[in-house]
Amino acid sequence: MRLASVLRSVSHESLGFDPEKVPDTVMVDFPLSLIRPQLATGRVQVGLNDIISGVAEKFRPAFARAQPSLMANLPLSELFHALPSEAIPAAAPAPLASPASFFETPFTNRATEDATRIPLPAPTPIAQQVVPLDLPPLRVPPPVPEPAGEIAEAQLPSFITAHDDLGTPQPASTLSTPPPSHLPLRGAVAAPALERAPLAIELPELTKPIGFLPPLPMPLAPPATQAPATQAPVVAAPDFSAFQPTPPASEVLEMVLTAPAPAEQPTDGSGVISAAEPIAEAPPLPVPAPAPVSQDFQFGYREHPAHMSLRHWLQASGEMSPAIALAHVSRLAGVRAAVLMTGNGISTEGHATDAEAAFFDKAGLRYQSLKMMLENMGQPVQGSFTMRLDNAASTFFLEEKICLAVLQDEASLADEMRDKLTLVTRELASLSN
Amino acid sequence: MAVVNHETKEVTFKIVYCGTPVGGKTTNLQYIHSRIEADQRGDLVSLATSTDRTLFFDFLPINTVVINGYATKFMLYTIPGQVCYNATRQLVLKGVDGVVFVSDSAPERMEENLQSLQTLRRNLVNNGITVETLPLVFQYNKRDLPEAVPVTYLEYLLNNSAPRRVSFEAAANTGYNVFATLNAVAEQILQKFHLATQPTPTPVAPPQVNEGQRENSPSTTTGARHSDPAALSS
Repeated sequence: MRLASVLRSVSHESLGFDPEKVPDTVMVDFPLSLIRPQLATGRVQVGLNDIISGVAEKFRPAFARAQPSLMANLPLSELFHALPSEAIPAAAPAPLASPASFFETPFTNRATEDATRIPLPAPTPIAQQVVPLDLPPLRVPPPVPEPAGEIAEAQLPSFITAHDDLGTPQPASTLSTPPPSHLPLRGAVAAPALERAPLAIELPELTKPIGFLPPLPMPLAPPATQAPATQAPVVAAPDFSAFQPTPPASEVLEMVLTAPAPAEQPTDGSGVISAAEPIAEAPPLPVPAPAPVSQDFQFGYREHPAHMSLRHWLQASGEMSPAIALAHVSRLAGVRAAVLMTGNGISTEGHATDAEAAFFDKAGLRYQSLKMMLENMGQPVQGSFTMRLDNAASTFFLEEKICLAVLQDEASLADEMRDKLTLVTRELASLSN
Repeated sequence: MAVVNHETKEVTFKIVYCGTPVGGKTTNLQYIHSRIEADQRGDLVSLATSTDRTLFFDFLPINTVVINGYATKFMLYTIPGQVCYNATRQLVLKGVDGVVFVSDSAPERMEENLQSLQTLRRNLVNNGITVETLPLVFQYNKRDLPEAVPVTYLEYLLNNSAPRRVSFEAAANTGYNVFATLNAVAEQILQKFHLATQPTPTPVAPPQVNEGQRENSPSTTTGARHSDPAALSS
């Protein structure tokens, strides 16, 4: 085998020289007894002594600085080229687990078709074929006899270099003692000593003790008001507790993934808002009605911090609520429709295509199945999970007791979009708390 | 464990594709999905984690022929090769009827192939499945790689214990031997199912059935369709 490829998995530091510099012509031999027992593990390793004894004697001094514990993984691709075919071990003869079967399966015809239609593909060529150039023959110099006895350092092959921390390999013969580390760096200029500048502002002496102002009275936030029907598409929907008692997750998962569309579309009366009504274009975002001027004292009123965060992440202004946030989400680039599922029900936003209607129909069950699968596996019920179907992909963002699901244009969401929606889901979860 | 529903006259088999990460399991399912008529198959569902790289699993239901008046349904799954998804593997392997082990022919993946097979064996045992009697087929994928290791070696490394399993060279990206592999495992499943449902002659003595054999035998139900064998046995 080529020594260069054997040393490819070994670091510069543990070898003491750069393995990249080893010419391809230097070969190393290993005994079959060393290789063969290791083939059963799928990995063949050799130690420093194996390498040293496998290379020509003149190269052995090159390993003088190598770490004794050095181990190199042999590249199996090259090993199989080097091994004689009879050296590759074969499986022990044993009877087949299932003798020839007489059962025609649903896939028999396809297998027969493919056998005639698709040939075994030829291996991909590694590189383009090299066209030999028409060059005059080289004049080969006469061979130089090797000196007997120990090889002087100057006669070592050119690839053998000393370990050089500066990254530039130097021939071992010219290596000088490295400079002590306490010497100043070349080119470094001593910084002039800083003089203490006088303070520009003289602080007056305090004549009174410092006190703190009493805190302002903080009125309670106004109770949450029911959003008008024209603004908020969120309406109470059947509670998820209706899914109880729950069967095992794996069963639910299979049932959900194969579940046909419900026979009846949910109507407004059922408590689930569906965006399945034909909409020519995306409806405008609900404009919040101007807040009535209240006679009550409003100073100090603070909105929920999540509202501010949602406005920030969704680059929106004005009033913010889960329904409005959902409407914004459904208009994000790459998002076709969005569903928000909470303990109170389901909200949907999107256009009225078949794909979106199917997405709305199955989102609740898929959320449940995901949740149960994670619980079954002992995993926290949070994170984002992309589900790809034939021609649609959707991502479910799970956080505490809510789930934001989006039907997307592409097979996967952009990283920034995924991060953004994760943060939006977190804020929506904090609102629901 | 096949699930038989006498009420809906349906038999459901579960086939799981296992193997190293990026070994070609999903490509197998994608090819099968592309070659089966739309009215005979469901959606190919893939579930990915937040990194969007590691598949949780793929799932492809195939509604196929009617055998002895029963509609046959094959549920095809892949399971992730990554060690961190051991729980997912356990879940998907529950109630499996047959396994296709997809191995990568690239030389640098040999150790991973072996580790993946060992993990599969452990997962099967943890699920109470007798490995020796489970229909299992090896698929040596990526045979179109320029440095694909010899098949002799793959057989030695992976298919070297009694009983030997049927194995196929394949290139899932072109479809080469994808259906041949599926056909082989389906044959074994149907054969086993046939044997298990044969009316047994009057026994002289009750046969010794161990737990694993009982677990792998088909179950029947007359109620609503249960796709989870554990739910039936509990």
